[in-house]
Amino acid sequence: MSGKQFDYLKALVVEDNPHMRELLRTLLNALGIKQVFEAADGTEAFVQLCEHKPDFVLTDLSMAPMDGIEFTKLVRSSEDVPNPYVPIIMVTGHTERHRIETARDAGVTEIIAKPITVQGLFSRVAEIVERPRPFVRAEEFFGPDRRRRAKREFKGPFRRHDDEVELR
Amino acid sequence: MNASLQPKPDAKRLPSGAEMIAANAYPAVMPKSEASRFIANLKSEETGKRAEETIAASRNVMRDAVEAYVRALDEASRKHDVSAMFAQAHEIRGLAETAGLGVAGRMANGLCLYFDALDGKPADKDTVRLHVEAIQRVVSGEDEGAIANVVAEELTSLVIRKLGETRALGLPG
Repeated sequence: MSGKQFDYLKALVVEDNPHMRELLRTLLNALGIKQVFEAADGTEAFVQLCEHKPDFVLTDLSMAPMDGIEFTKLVRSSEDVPNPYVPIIMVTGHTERHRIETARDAGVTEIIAKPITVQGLFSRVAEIVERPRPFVRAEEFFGPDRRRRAKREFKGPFRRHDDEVELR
Repeated sequence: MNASLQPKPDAKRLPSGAEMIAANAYPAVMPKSEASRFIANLKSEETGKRAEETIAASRNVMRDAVEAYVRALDEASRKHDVSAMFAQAHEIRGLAETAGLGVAGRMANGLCLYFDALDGKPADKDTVRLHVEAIQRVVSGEDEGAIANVVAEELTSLVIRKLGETRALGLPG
């Protein structure tokens, strides 16, 4: 395969559907990422993550025995994980709002809805490289800041009690 | 304790007690010097073309996979096994577009959303069967183009109507 190579980059693909796993791997290869590790569920993925220390992770949501939500929570909280800040991109066919919110609250960095497209995948990979997000560590949450963008024109209502409010 | 999980002395402390850790305070995906080269490659026409070719090359394999999931969906619907139907429809909605069967994917997505919205309430057998048969017709090539799109829209309307009826009846979950 021609094109630029990024030999040092390592990605982990966690997906129980072998066809989708293969597709994601070949798309990452097309991007020049040759070191792509694969796992079929969260348990297997955690072992791979600790062993290979990937630079980012693509994970499905529904898998057994450990799904993508539990896997993400484990990555963000385990004492054994090499890098709890590792970007996690969730690739899911579940577009129901409650599932997306659960994924976000588990500490997922980006979400891509299936069906997978080149534009969808590449834009999320670009996002984690170009605009890494700050992390929040609170009593019940550790993960990327769930508020994506601060809008200058937004004057409230403020939802976090420590939102900075200009007093006049 | 994992050193990365320990509080960072330079992190911004919010009044709530939460810590805000800046992006430059934890390991980056790649060094800055490499990032611009990587992004330029990612956004290049050549890479995009190569990736699209990858998807196109997988079309036949994906199509075979979708056909197998449709057969399994049909079997599950004959047994009225909602959990198995959801699982198969979920696989179809994930792969169908890549297999060049986007309308079947939309129909399968509608079926998944129907099951999800029912939240354990009994599914209308005719609604489910109509979805399964419509997906089968698209995958077999019997329905395509404008006809398949109209059927998909009709199925969406049917799901909305059935969910409304279920709510109105107050059926238990």
